[in-house]
Amino acid sequence: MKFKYKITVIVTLQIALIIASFLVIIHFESQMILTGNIVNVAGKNRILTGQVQIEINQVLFHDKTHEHNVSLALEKLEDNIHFLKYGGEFSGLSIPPLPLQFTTDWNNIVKQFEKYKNDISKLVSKENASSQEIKDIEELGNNLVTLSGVLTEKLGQDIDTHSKQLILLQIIFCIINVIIHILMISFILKMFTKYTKQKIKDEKFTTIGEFATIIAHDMRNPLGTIRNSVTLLQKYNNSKLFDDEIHRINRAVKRMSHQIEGVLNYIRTVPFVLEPASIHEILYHSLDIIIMPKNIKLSIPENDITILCDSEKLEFVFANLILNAVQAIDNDTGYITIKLSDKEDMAVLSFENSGVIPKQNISKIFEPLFTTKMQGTGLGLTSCKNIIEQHNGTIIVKDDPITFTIHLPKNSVSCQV
Amino acid sequence: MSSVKKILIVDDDYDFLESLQLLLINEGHDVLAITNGNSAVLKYQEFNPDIVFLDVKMPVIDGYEAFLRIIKYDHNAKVVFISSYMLDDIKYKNAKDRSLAGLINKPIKLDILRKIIKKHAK
Repeated sequence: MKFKYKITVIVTLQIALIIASFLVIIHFESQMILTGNIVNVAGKNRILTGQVQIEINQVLFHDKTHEHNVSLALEKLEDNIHFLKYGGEFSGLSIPPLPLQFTTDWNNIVKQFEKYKNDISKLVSKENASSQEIKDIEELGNNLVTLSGVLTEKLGQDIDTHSKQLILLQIIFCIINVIIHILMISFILKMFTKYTKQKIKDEKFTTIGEFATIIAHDMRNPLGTIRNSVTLLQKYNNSKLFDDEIHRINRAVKRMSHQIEGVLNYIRTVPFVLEPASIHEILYHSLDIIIMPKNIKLSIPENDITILCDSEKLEFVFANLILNAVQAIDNDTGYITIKLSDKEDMAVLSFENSGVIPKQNISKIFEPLFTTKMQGTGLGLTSCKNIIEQHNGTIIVKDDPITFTIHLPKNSVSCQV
Repeated sequence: MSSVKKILIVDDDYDFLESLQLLLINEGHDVLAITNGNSAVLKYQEFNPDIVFLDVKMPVIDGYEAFLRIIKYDHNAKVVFISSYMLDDIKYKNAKDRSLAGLINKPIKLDILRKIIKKHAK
């Protein structure tokens, strides 16, 4: 599920990046189109000025009654100049207001138009206009066209700049997308390789687990017979040798049983039998399978707490932690100190010892099949963690000195069987 | 209440069955040992035990089925499963809901056996 979640996040990010790239490009392009529309409006000044000029010539040289047409042509030109500044809708095209950097050019056009308009009204109202006056009007008209041309050219340059920026932006987005895609693909491949390795490992565990479970179960019957017979024989012992050997067999049975429980508790196939039990008593029972070396000083808590638990399973946990401590101390002179305390609705147990576990191994200590010992399945501490968690408790380990701390609810009625 | 109990033990592993029978007889109980579930149900009616120790995995009819037949005959029957194999979660829960007295795993510790007999035997 974690793998699927990561892939989903990565693909979503890629899609978001592609959409963002397109939106930025679309925004730039639409800005360019709008500026292109302004160019059209500015260019229209030339045509409209030309029309004014035609109407003037009509009035001056042909028909004096066409004066009204001059006013109409001027009005159209004026409207176009205002439209150029403030924008709006025109023939289905959207024209934005003129960008502020072109205000000076527009002001020059307006000034020139005002002069052009005034001089035309003076000229057409005269009976006989001189050829110089007509030429001056033409000159003003040409200036107006030139100023509009300057604005058109500047707008064109602006579009050109935007166009270059857009190409650059497209290249940048393309490079970013390619890089991110390559990174994503390598990341997905890495995750996939990790996932495949984990899957193979899990399958191996399952197969090993199934075999181990069958063997462990099969061993329980003969072990049961041995224990029954030894228990019976114990009652008829009549010598120290007999008694010692019976104890040896009993210890061996317990150790085998302990290993079997380790496998079965790792697979979690053993149901819980919850009953009130004394932690003190469970601790003492757990010591049955251990021969404590003389170089180790063991301290057991004097206080006791009764909790609702599966005592056989907790016995397994305690025996495992003590055995591990014995192995960690090895032949050095050392200690194992077990402390028990009451913390509201929890019983807190700590197993401290003077042994050494390399720092790099501390984090892997609860991983299945992790072992640095020649003996053992590597399932012991994993099974311990399983059992404590099934009691709704927690187990943590810290070094310097090595201490396993267990928190167990006193009343784990809701234990996860 | 007498400390001598009538105990029916059912297991298809003959060695285990016989060793457990000897152990319980030595503890002073009246013990009947049976090697399959079918006979166990029939013998329960004749023997009328105070407690039954029933292996779960057996041929013909398994421990669950034998348990169901016993409690059908006697609602107050005290039956304890002895298991060495993985238990079927659903069947085990069903048995627990129908007054299964307990579960012990092989190899059995004598003190646990004594506690169970003391606690559950009629």
